[in-house]
Amino acid sequence: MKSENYDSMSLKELRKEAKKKEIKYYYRLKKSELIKILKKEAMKNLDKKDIKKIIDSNPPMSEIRKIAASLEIKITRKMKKIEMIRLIKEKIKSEEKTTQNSKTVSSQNSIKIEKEIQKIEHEKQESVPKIPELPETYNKDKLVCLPVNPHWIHIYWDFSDETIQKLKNFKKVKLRIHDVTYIIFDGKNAHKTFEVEINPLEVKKYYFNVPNARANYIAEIGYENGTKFVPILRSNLVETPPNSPGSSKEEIWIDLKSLRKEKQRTKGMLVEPLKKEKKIESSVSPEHYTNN
Amino acid sequence: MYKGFFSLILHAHLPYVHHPEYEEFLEERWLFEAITETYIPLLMAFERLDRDKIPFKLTMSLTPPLLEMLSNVSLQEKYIRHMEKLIELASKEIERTKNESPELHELAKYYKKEFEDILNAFIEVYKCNIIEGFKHYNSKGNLELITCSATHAFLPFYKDYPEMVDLQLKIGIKAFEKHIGKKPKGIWLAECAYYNDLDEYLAKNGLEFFFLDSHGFWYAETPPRFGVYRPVMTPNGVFVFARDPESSEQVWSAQIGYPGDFNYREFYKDIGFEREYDYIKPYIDRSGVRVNTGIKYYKITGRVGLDKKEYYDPKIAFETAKNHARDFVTKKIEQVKRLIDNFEGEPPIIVAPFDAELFGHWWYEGPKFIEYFFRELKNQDVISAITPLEFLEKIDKVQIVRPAPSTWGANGFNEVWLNGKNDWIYPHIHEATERFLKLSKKINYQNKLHKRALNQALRELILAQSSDWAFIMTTGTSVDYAVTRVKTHLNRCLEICKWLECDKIDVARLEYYESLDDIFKDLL
Repeated sequence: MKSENYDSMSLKELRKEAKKKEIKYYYRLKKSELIKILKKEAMKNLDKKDIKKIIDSNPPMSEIRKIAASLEIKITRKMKKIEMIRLIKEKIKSEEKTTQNSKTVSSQNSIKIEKEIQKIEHEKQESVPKIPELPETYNKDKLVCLPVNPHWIHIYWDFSDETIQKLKNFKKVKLRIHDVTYIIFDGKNAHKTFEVEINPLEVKKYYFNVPNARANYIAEIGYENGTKFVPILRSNLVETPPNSPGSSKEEIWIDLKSLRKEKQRTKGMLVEPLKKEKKIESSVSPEHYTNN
Repeated sequence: MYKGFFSLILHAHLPYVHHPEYEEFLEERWLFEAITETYIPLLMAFERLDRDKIPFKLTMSLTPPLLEMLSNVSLQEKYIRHMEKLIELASKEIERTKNESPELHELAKYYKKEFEDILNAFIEVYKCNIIEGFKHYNSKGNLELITCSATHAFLPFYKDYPEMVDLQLKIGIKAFEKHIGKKPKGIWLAECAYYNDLDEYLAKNGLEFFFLDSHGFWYAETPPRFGVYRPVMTPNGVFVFARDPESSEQVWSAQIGYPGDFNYREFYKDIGFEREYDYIKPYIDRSGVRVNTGIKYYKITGRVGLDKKEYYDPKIAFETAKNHARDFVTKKIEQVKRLIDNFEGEPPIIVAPFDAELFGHWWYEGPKFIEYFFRELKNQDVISAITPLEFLEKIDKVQIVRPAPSTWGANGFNEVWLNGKNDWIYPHIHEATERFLKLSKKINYQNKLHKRALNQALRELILAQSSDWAFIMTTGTSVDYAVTRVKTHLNRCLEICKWLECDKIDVARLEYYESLDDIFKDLL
């Protein structure tokens, strides 16, 4: 038996050896893993005749154990040397009967090695943490409006378990948008209110098309109790951005030295705004958005 | 006596991408490409202008994530390795093209020299930190530098979290001070995104000026008398300049803009995608995914398919850039003359902001265009280049205007950063923001470990807030990476918040996150 002393080899040498032996994925294996596989491989490549010779030459116990391990013979600590030798001899005989040519044996061996490597690979992949998904809910009551453009508002919501239980009791749940431009909203004084029926337990966001740019909106989610709308959640205030020049008639100027302010009647802009390729005028159509 | 002024603004930004746990990482190439194609070529253009005593003035925003990456030693080392490999590839190309065609062979030689010059400048001139180059021209008065919010956050979506907006600004200012050595006077609002009363926070943080897209002025409550051609002051006393739509169109527009000229280099035909797999494999991503190498042999040629493109000729392309620069100067002179007739004698300022990476990365000849522009500007006396601060020194009176909420994104508002493809991120980002802000008021700052954990939660939070991820989800390239980044940072932020909430800090894990997400290492 060629005694390759894998234990004393460096990682570089081990890799070289593994490459020579055509061990797959050798470059990804750790030093200890390489040694293990190389040793096994070395044993498996031993000719059966060589094994017999070794056994007959009264080898030390450690050598016998190695051979037994390579032939996948189960040995226990209590086993005597003679017993082991007997088991080895039997195993060789039976293998010689079933497999006439050694090529099959070696290809079987290579399949085993591949499996082993696959196992190691698999373990490695498992150890790479997958990105956990973000929570589906934070168990909090929340209704939030964000401005998209002059005519669209994005709304998202989340509920506490308590609210979910409450909502389950009502058939008609609605999302309302109130135009609250220039007013302090008291729940009833909106200039205009728009509503849609939603299934708030399945859908958690909505894009609302609103008529006015340069306006303030507040959203509410609530349920219908007879003819009455009972709000459960109210959102923050959202401002739709303007898409046309403002209407103020008064210019304010400041003198940067004296910091004195001075008012003048506006003459409008001295240069006309350039029409930017129809850009700003058209608000994006709803098919750009998905509502679920 | 000059009749009008021109202010070129380059917004230099990349999201923070650093993966110290990997030897190579695909998305780190974004930085490497920008250094090779934009930042160093710009610095080299400045150097040539300086050498030839050509006056030049421009403004650049160097965003905090970009500053943090440019000064990161591990990324600097990775950049050098990247360039060494690129030079190796160029050498192979020289050999290989010998038998292909003399034009390609010449181009291969051109690239090898380019890459060698750039790597040499990186190491020898800038000592691996090109921020030094920008600082140099800043101290000479050619280059005004401004900051940005900490991680290029889209501030209107944090309007209801004023402390978060304030933190984004404060960290942005601190990072600038650390890398540039002085307080920034101006700020580039990420995506030019402005909401009513944001100026209050800008003023509170000592920022004196910022920029908006044109309609931020046009749709203001009171029309600014001089349109977009003079700065105005916001109600809270911050100056604001607006983008000139004509300059944007001349340079930006894919159809009629200069970068679409048929002589210019074709961006989409790169040997990373053209050469056979076995040959190119060592120079693309380790996973085997083909990527741009930066070696491109073809010109735009015409409105033809990629297979019909003709060989690129740098000489002709640079000559074209020179002609375009001359044309641009002529157009700006005409524009100033037109404006001044309407302006009761007040000199107009034309403000032209662009993404810095347009020049060089997308438009390969862009840095040359900028160089020729300043050379041409020297030959006339109608228009003078100026920085916003210098212009402010020239005026005695300014109109007070409440600008309109707006952005410089497609359609002028928020839909690029808020639509069906990316809206799922906001409930999570807002939740993490609330959790963080609540803890920041609650924790005992004497407890060093708690303070450290809170700082890491903040790092994770602001990394998730970077507007780039939402943008990438909209545009559709590298979406998986953007999604992973958002989820990873938010998960880490929420995890750390939980530790703090129940006073059980996992120190080993905290250390691990600190090593991975290492932005603003010694700032927080």
